[in-house]
Order: sequence, then structure tokens, then C-alpha cells
Amino acid sequence: MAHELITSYTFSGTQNSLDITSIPTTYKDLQLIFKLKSVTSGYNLYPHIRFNSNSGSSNYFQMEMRASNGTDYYYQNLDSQLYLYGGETDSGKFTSGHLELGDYNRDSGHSGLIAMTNSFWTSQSFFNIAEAVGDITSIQVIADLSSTKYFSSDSKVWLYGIGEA
Amino acid sequence: MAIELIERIDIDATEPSVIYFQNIRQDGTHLLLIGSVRSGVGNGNGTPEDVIVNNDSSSNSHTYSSLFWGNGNASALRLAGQNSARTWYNTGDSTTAYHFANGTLWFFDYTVSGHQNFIAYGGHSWEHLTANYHYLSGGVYDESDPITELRLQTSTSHKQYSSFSLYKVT
Repeated sequence: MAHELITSYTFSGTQNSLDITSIPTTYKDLQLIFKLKSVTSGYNLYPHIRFNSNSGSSNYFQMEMRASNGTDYYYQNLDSQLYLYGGETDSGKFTSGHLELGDYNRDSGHSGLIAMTNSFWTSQSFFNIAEAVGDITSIQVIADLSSTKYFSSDSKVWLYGIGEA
Repeated sequence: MAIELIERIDIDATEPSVIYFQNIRQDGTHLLLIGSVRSGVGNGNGTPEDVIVNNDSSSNSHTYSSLFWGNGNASALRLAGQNSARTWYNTGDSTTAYHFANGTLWFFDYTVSGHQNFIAYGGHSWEHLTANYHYLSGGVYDESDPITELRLQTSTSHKQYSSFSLYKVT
């Protein structure tokens, strides 16, 4: 079974977003691995991910489970993007994780998506699930919707293809 | 093939308490550790399976997150959670037990210096069948060197038939 690197990307330090396009249709599943932090000291980065540039207000569904200061916390919501909760990301503190996009190229237009991320500083864990938006042809990784925050120059993203279509 | 086995350790009858992945090759991008941890014999003989990165076992060198235990700093990552290798809860099983707990740990960009965050997932199944006992993740708090060693340990011993595989992803 194939598990191949499609592309990797290192941010420049002045970018607010990354748009991965030209995703091949030859795989069964996709895997996105990321390590992200902000250039802004002390700023809690909360990266977003969207698919196909879809920003519909209810087009993403996510569930969150985390422990915070010894208290478990559960949350679910419809939203306009998939959050990759970042926590504090200055001074080498990345938020990192992986996102599996199952059956991303299915003709029926539905994909089940799951994201699992880790916030370093608070050591919180997030399991995010997105109900999707049709076949995935592009992936947007966004630092902040206000466009005033940027990914650091050592932030990276890798996209892998898994299996055969 | 972007995933390649670096080393597999199958636990034999010597049942060591500590095992190592050492001199980890630096020609990959990410590491993936998959463990299948066999329980002890008899009720209550399970212990957590811990992973120490680069021989740094100081008390705040790693982090953890658990829906039950909360989050904080620790001396090791946890591949399989608290009492994960324990035999079936409250059965009083005194015979040979073949119950396993499985866990995975990812180490992203492990050859790079100067970053301090790795993701880890662990899980267990035998003592408490409730999700909030699962360890969800952990990190490496103050280790900024490339990962060259993983030390796996329990407070007792690794039981025969446990197995650990370390893969590199490029």
C-alpha cells in the first residue's frame, strides 16, 4: 500500500495562509501532518483548515475533547472552518498533529474527516471531526482569519497520499 | 514507500524491564512508534508503558494529557496509559493472561534541533472501560535535540509477547 509524500511546505515567516492545490486523485486517502507556530511572541495560534476554499458557516462539524487543568472538557459545534487548536506557539512551542482525510476523492461528494491535534504548552488534546464538503481538491491552512498573524519560518506542512483510488 | 521499519523488538522470556531504541537513524522525517503491550499474570500486575526521549527523565521533561488525569508535566511520555497492561479488571485472573494494550506515538520532524513539540497518542483498554482514562497525547517539554534514543520502561517488566515497532516516515 502506498504511503507517499505528495508535497511538503515550509512557511516564509510572512505568510498568513497556505493553499495546497493540484491534489492528485490517484490515492484513496490523504494525510496532512503539520507543525505550526506563530511569529508573534506569546500569541496563541489557532490555525484553521478549510477544504476547497469552502467557508460556509455550517459546513464543518467538529468535536473537541480535552483536559484542561485537570478538568475534562467536551465541545461540539458547526463552524466555517476546522480549528487546529494551537495553544501557545512562540519560543519553539509548536502545535503539531495529523489529519486524515478518508476517501477524499469519492464521487458521491461525501468524505468523513478526522483531525487529531496536540497543543504543546498546555498539553491539551483535540479530536476534531469534520463533515465534509465534497471531493477534496484543495486544502487551505490559515494562521488567523484576521490576516494579522503569520506562521513562523520553521512551520511546516506535509501532505501524503495513502493507498490507491 | 514512505514508511519503513527501523527496528522491531519482540519481548522474549527474559522479560526485560527496560528496552531501548538507540542510535536512531536520522534519514527520516517523522517517527512512528507502535507498541503492543501484554499484561502481566494475575490481577493488578499491569503498569504503564512509558517512553523517555534522549535519556532525559527529569520531572518536567515531558508532558501528558488525559481526560481523567488532566494535563501537566511528567518524566516520560506514555505509550499506553495508567494500568494499561493490567489484566481484566476485577476478574482476579491468576492464569496466564494475554491481554494487550496498544499505543502509538508520533514524533514529527524528529531530526530537527530547536523545537520542542512532539505529539503522542496512547490508549489502554483493560482496567477501566471508560474513555476518560485514555491518555490522548503528550509532548516533549524541554528537549530540543534531534531524537536519537527512545527508552521504554515499566515499573515491573515487559511481558513476553509484547512487541514494539519503530518506523520512519519520509
